[in-house]
Amino acid sequence: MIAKTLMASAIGAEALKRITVFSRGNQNRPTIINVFRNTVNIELPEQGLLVVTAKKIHSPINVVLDEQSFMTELGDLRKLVTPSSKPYINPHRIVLGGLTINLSNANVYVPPHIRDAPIRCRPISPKAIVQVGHRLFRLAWLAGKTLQDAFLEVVDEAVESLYELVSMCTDLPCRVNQGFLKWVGLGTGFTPSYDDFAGSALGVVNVVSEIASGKPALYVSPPDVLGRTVRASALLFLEQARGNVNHAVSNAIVSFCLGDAEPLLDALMDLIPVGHDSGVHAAAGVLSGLIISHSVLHSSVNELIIENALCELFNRVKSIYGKTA
Amino acid sequence: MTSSSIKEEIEKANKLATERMMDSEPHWVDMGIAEKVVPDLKGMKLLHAGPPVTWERASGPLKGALIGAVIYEGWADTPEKAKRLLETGEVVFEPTHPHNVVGPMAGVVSPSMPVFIFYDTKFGNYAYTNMNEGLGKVLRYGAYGKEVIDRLKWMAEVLYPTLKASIDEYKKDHKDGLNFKNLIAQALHMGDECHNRYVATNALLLKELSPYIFSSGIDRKHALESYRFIANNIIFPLNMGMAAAKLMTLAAHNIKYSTIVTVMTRNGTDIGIWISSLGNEWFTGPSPIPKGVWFPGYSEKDANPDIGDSSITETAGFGGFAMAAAPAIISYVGSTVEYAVENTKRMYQITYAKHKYFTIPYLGFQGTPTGVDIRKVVYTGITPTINTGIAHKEPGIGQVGAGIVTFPLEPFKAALRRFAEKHGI
Repeated sequence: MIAKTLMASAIGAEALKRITVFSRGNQNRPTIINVFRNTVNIELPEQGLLVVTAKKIHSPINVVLDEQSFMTELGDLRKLVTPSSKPYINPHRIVLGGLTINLSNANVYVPPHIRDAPIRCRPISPKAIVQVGHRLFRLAWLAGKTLQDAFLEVVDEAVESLYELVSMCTDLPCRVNQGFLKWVGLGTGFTPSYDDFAGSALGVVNVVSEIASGKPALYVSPPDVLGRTVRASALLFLEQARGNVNHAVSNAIVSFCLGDAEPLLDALMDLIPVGHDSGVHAAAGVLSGLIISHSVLHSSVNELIIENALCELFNRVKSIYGKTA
Repeated sequence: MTSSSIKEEIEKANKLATERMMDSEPHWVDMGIAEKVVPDLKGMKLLHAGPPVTWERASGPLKGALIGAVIYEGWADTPEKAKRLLETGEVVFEPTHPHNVVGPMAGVVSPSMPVFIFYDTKFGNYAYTNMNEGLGKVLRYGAYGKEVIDRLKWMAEVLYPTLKASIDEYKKDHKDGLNFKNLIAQALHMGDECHNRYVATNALLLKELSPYIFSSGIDRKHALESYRFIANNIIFPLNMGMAAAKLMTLAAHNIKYSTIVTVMTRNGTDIGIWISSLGNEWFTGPSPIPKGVWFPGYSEKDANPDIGDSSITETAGFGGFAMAAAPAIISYVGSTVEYAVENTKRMYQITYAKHKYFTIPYLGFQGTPTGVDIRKVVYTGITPTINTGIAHKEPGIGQVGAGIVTFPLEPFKAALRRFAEKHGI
C-alpha cells in the first residue's frame, strides 16, 4: 500500500510534552511495541508510553487520529505500520513506517479534572456509588459485557488490600505493595483484566488525592509490575496509576467530585465499549477507586461504610450474573 | 422476570422486529393533499424532519424551509412576516415521524402540499412523503426564494395531478400499487444504495411508470413536463424510498422488549432516535457536521450540522448501510470505494440481521445490515454511519455539498438506560 498522511484531531498534553522533550536530543529511538487495527503503542525511552489511536479515546498520552479520515483513507493501521520498527517523532509529525501523522491541527487535550480545576470535591456517597455501579454492570450485562470469573474471585481481597493501604498511608505518596499487585497479569486479553482494574483504581485514587491535597496518594515502582504482565499492559498500567487516565475516567472523577450520580453513570458507560472487556474491568477499578477515595478526602471517614460499600459493589455484580454472593 | 429470561425476551422481540421490518411490503398507492390524508395535520401547522426543536434552537436550513412553507401556504407574503408567525407560535411546527410522514433534509411538509401515499400491504400501515424538488436551491435545504416557491407551485399544479393520474392508471394493471421494495432490491444490484444514489431506481421507476403517465389521459404537455422533471432529477425517488423505509421500520415499531432502532433522524441541531419497545420517546444528541465533498465556493465552515429524515433508509437496512453495493456513490459523497465496503462491514457489527431481500453482489450477495440494536452500539461503541446531503448553515441558501456522517453515542446510551429502567433491569 502506498504511504499515507493522516491528520491527528487531538493530542494529549502529556503526549505533546513527551514528544517535545524527546525531540530535543534523546539518542535512543522510540519503539513500536504493538500494532492493532485501530491503535499503535509506542515506547519513548525515559518518557513512557505514547498511544496513537483511531478510536475517539482521549487521554493525556494519546494521539487521536481523525476518525472519519482514518476510516475513509486507511481503515487499518496494520496496513502501513509494523511492530518493532523505529518511528520518527517530532512535535509536528509522527512517522510510523508508511504512515505519517500530521500533528499541526491537533487540539491539545487536557483532562477535565485538570482543565476544570480547582475542583472542590463534595463527593458522591459510597452507597450512591454502589448504586451507580449496580446500574452500570446491569447495563453492561444487557449489552453483553461482563467481568471475568477469575477476576471476580480475587477482587474482594484486592479492594480490601488497596483500602487498607490507602487508609494506613500517612506520608504521601505510599508505595503500592504486593498485597495489591500480586494479581497483575491475571485474566485474559491483551491487557489482562486485573491490570485494567488495578490501573484504573490507582489512577482514580491518585487523581482524587491530587485534587484534594496536590499530591498523589500512591506510587508503583515499575519493577514491581514490569515482569508480571505483557510489556504494553504494564506500561499502560503504570501510566494509569500515575493519573494519566482517559476522558471517561476523568469525567467520572469530576462527576464524583461534583456529587452528580447520573453524569457519573453516563461517563462510566463510555468505558463499556473499550476493548473486549477491558472497559468493564476498568469501570470496576474506577468505582472501587472512588469509594476508597473517601478516605483520601476525609481523614475521619467511617471505615465500616467504605468496607461495606466495596463488599456490596461486587456482591451485587455477582448477583447480576446469577452467582451467589 | 429473571435475568436470563429478559435476554430471551429481547432476542425473541428483536427477531420479530427485524423479520417484520424485512417482510414489510411498501407500495406506492396514491397521491393526496397533506391536510386531507396525513393524520392530525390541520390549520397553521407544519411538519419538519428530526426530533422536536424550538424556533430558538432550530438550525438555519430548518428555519429557512419553515419560512418558505409559510410563504408557500400564503400565511405571509414576506420572509420577515413568516418568521414572526413562527417565532410567536401562530404557526406551529412539529416532527414528521409521529404523523408517519418523512421528508429529506428540513423535511418540511405543509397542509396544502401534495404527498405520496404509501401502504404496507403486509402489515396495513400508511406512510406519507412530499415530492422531491431536485438538487441545489430547494426548500428542503432551507432556500425560500421566488424560484423555490414557483417550483413548488408547479409541482402542485402539474406534477401532482400527473402522478395522481399515473398511479391511478397503474393500479388498473397492478391492484396493490407500485411495489417499492422490489425497486430498491433491484437498484441495489444496479449500483444504487438508495439514500443519496437513486440513478438506477429512477430509471426503474420511469420504466415502470412511463406507459401509465402517457396513457393516463393527463394533458400531454403536462405529462411530458412531468416526465422530464423526474428524468432530470436523479434523486427524485429519494422521498419514495424514505416512505418505503418508514413503513418497514413502522412494522418493527412498538414491539415489547425489542431494542431495535426504528427511527434515526436529524433536524440540523439534534439527532433523535426511537426504539421499538420504547414507543415514540425521543433520545437525542448533538447533530454532527458531515465530512464531505463541497460544491464550488463552499467549505466545511459553511456547513450546517446534519439534517433530515432520510436516515430512515439506513434504519431500514439500506442507504449508507448498503454502500458496498454502490461504489459510484463515492463520487458524490467523497471517500473511497474501500471505505464504502468497509462501512457496510462495520454496520454488521451493530445490526441484528442480514436483510432477506436486500443483498449486495460484491459481498457475495450477503444481506444488507438491518436493524440497529442499541445493545450492540453500546457494546462496540460503533454508531451508525450514513451518507447525506449538506445544507448551508444560513437560511435561504441551499445545498453546499454531500458527505458522510457518524451519529454520536449519547442517544444510544440514553435509550439503553431508559430500556433498563422500563424493564426494571
